[in-house]
Amino acid sequence: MVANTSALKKARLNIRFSALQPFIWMYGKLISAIKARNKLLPALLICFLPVTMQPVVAENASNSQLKIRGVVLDENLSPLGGVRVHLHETGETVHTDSLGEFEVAGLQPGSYHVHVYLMGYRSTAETVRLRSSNAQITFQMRPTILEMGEVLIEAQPYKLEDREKSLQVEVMEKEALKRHQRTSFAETIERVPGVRTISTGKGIAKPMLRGLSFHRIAIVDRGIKQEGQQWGADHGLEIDPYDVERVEIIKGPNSIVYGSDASGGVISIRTPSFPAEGHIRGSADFRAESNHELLGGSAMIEGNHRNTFYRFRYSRQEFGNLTLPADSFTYAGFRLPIDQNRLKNTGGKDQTFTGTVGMQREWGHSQLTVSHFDQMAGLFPGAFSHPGSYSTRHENGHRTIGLPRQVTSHSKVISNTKLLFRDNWIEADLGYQLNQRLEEGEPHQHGNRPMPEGTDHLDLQLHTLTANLRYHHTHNDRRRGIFGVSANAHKNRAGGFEFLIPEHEGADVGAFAYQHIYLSENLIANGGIRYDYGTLLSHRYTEPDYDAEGNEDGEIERAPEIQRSFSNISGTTGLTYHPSEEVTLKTNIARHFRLPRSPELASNGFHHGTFRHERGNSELNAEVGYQWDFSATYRKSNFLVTATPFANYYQNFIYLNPTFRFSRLPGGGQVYEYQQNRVLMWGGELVTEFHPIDPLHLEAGLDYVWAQNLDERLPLPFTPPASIFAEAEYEFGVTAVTWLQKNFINLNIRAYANQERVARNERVTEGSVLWNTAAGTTVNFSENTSVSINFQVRNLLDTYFQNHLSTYRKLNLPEPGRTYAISVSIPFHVMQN
Amino acid sequence: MKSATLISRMLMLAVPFAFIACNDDDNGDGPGDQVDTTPPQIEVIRPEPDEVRAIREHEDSRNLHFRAQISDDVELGEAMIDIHNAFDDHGHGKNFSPFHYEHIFDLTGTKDTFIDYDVVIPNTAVPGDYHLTIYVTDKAGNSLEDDQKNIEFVITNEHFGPSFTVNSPEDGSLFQFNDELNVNIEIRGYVDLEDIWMNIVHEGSGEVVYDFHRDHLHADPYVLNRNIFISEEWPEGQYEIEIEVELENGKHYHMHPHLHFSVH
Repeated sequence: MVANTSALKKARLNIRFSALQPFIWMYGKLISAIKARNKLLPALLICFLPVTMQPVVAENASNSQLKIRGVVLDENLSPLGGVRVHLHETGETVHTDSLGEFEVAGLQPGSYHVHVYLMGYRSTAETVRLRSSNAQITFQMRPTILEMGEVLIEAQPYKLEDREKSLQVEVMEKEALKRHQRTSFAETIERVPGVRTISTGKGIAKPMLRGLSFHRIAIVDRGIKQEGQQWGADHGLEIDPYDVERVEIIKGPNSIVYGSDASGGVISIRTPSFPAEGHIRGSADFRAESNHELLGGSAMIEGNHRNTFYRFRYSRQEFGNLTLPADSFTYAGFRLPIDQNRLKNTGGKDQTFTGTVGMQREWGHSQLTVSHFDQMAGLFPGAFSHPGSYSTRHENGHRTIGLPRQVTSHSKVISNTKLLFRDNWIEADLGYQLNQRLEEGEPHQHGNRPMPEGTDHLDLQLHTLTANLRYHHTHNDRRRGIFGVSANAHKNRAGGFEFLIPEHEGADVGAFAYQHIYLSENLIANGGIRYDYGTLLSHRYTEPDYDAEGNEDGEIERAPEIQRSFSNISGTTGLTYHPSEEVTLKTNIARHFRLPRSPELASNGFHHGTFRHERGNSELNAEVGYQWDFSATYRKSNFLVTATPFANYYQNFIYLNPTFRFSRLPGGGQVYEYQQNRVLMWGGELVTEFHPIDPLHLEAGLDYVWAQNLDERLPLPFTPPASIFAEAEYEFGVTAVTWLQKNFINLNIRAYANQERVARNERVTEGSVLWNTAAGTTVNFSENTSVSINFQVRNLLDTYFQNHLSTYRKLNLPEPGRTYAISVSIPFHVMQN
Repeated sequence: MKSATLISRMLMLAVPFAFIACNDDDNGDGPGDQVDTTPPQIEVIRPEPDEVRAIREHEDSRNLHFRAQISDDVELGEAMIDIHNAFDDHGHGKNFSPFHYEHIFDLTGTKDTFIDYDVVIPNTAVPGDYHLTIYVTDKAGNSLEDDQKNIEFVITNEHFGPSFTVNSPEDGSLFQFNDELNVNIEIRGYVDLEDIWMNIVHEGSGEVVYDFHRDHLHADPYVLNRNIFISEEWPEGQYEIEIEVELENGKHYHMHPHLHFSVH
């Protein structure tokens, strides 16, 4: 017996070693990548190694080999085959056989969430508690032809059906993301009612939820909050548009789990699910757009060998100057030409590499993702440089990215682990990110200062270390909870010949408890409380002053040293009630908060991207607000309507306001200063979906936000105008052609209302009506090979319109005209069981 | 955009959440309780658009006259003028420093003010096209509609920019009906001249009694020499001769010969 065990151990050791190899390789790469420029390496190794090693040790301790068996039936109790069954905690996916049966073996005692999915049926989930014997469960799936509200929400804190969550969550899955893909990820999700983007041309876009953006929404990629320079209106989101397979958009405050910054909502990019054991598969995607001559593509390969999995993706896209439906624009009394209808220097390019390795075992699963995003985006010189330099003529064709431009890169190392601990689960997410932002432009001599060298106006580097630890526990069938801690440390370095924000560093820690209680069959309550503490040190910055002859003469302090600490208690409570199958009602009240950032406290300089002098305010307090959310859904087999109103009150909302002063810095423009005010926002979305006949999908959505500074009695800047969205999509197969079974045509319209509620010095924007159309097909070459081709025409009528949320809006520039887009997606299998 | 307005109205009606609209006293609609969002107004009198200021090396500096009427409905804040070059390549040559000038005026405490300010253009200024940009705020922080106002003017010297010599008529000459008016002006560009326009304008009515245009000149200098018959249809009074040129490089200039004559 003893000999037997040691032989087994030896065999296991071998497997373990091979399983670890990708990790070792990855760390090697990581080391060489980081060594040159960073001293954080030792810290990183300490952070990541134990997490990936520890589970392997845990594996030794396991001796129970339990199973979850089950059967999936339809509403007539007939078995359903081909149903995807996903075990959330281990990340394992199996499919039911023709008898509707499935089995997941090799499990340790604990509680597991079993999710079942099948196209045309409502997704559902069960919690299974494994003690000492195997479990047997039966699922009954109800058919539906609706697409909305039929998915499971994976975003923390719980993996639940939509109707069990008291906040509204919208989900966009792979297929929809592909069908409606745009130049940037943020634009792609603009489809969802309540979601908009603040854009600067194409490629640079930051998402906005219900009128909130900047640091008020958290973009979470694989459990880690993305940290860049979110304070800048012209700073986009650094995410590969091809690498998102599923995104969940939580409308409403989620400070409880995500801490500061999630006060307005969360956009959570979920970890893609891995292929089943023994499979190696991949995909190749190509995209082209006519308006700005975009060419892009992405290649991915992933595999699972004895439950050790990997995935690698490389994406790249390049585009040229935007084509506008106008040949001139009017600014400051000048009528300025748009040479060849193309907006000078608005091209861009980006590329991303993402690599993930991981393993799933009976103790749970663990994975490590390394990604690197690079972007170079040109900026229209008239919006960036000195006013009057409206040189709009093209010099080097339409695909050259000249000055001014942004060069950004974002590197991430993220580790996600789910560990079985007694009967419950621990989730650990660790992340290190480095955001590098270089804003380049021609140097200008100002006053008596010497001419600066080079073209780097601003060179910002933000390092962030994040750790989230959550313990999920199931008391009984009625009560579940999470305890969590999170910590975050950041360090910002600033270079370049201009000063805008100071160097700073800081850290914050938080702890929370959250409970989810089934009060009765159809009434669920949840509540949570969180405490946060954060400190911040913002460095003093001085620069030499010059006399009339250009000689150094003393120094000017641009930013004082600021040392602050903040603490806050936030909380949330909500109820969901579904009195019948058709009706779901939800309500939620939350106190949310946000710690002020160093740019808000201490920036002091000319911001080229917004063309003004931005000045921080060292007296700012933590931003605190209260939000009420409500949701009412009525759902029948072919009809759904959801209304989601909200009201949000901030007792001290931080934002930039104009002063009457002009900058004393040469060429500095008007001074805008951060201030805090009482703010009220309300609004909501109304969404409906209707299938008069099965293949015909009709959808309409409406969103509205009202936002007001109560102290100054003025609307907030960047408040999105109300909009209506309506679409008709018809799915059909060509009966005579077996390989043309899945086709669709889509016609949609989006209408924006006038935005007359504007902040001081913001322009009123006229509404517009835009028509878009799309069509696509999936060609089945064989059982496993299908190529999908999507075709889109956006702004079908080449309508001249202005986007209230574009940073080019202040120049009266219109948005791009008609564009044709085509995308081809070729999935392939290299190996399968 | 009528349809958009309609849609916006429909949207407002359709929004079912009006029950939480906090329309108490936070809208600023109360009498005498208006939030000041009206930007200040500005009327620039000088420089005129495309005004040419000729400097000569080794001579004294020239003044650029900035004259403007600025007003606000409540209280003015500050005004700033910024003169910077508008050269084709935006002056990014690193070997010379184009003329750059900034000045801030404190206007607080006033509602309506006239600025009369002379900017000294040093005789070392690099000649070329310049922009004079005026920014104005009111006390509440509202800035000029469109943020700014731009006036383009030109600094020339003997090496750059069009210049002219008037040979005839003499400024202030007197003529009678049926006289012949000889206009003789030598115009020099620093590159070839392409187009020349000349208008004779009656100062009282602004009526253009005579216009002349010559294109495809490809010449530098060019002597404009016209004999013009003063018919009895011309109104009596003071006249001004205006000249515009366009250079081969596409640049357009309003010349200001300040050349007047009278017809009686």
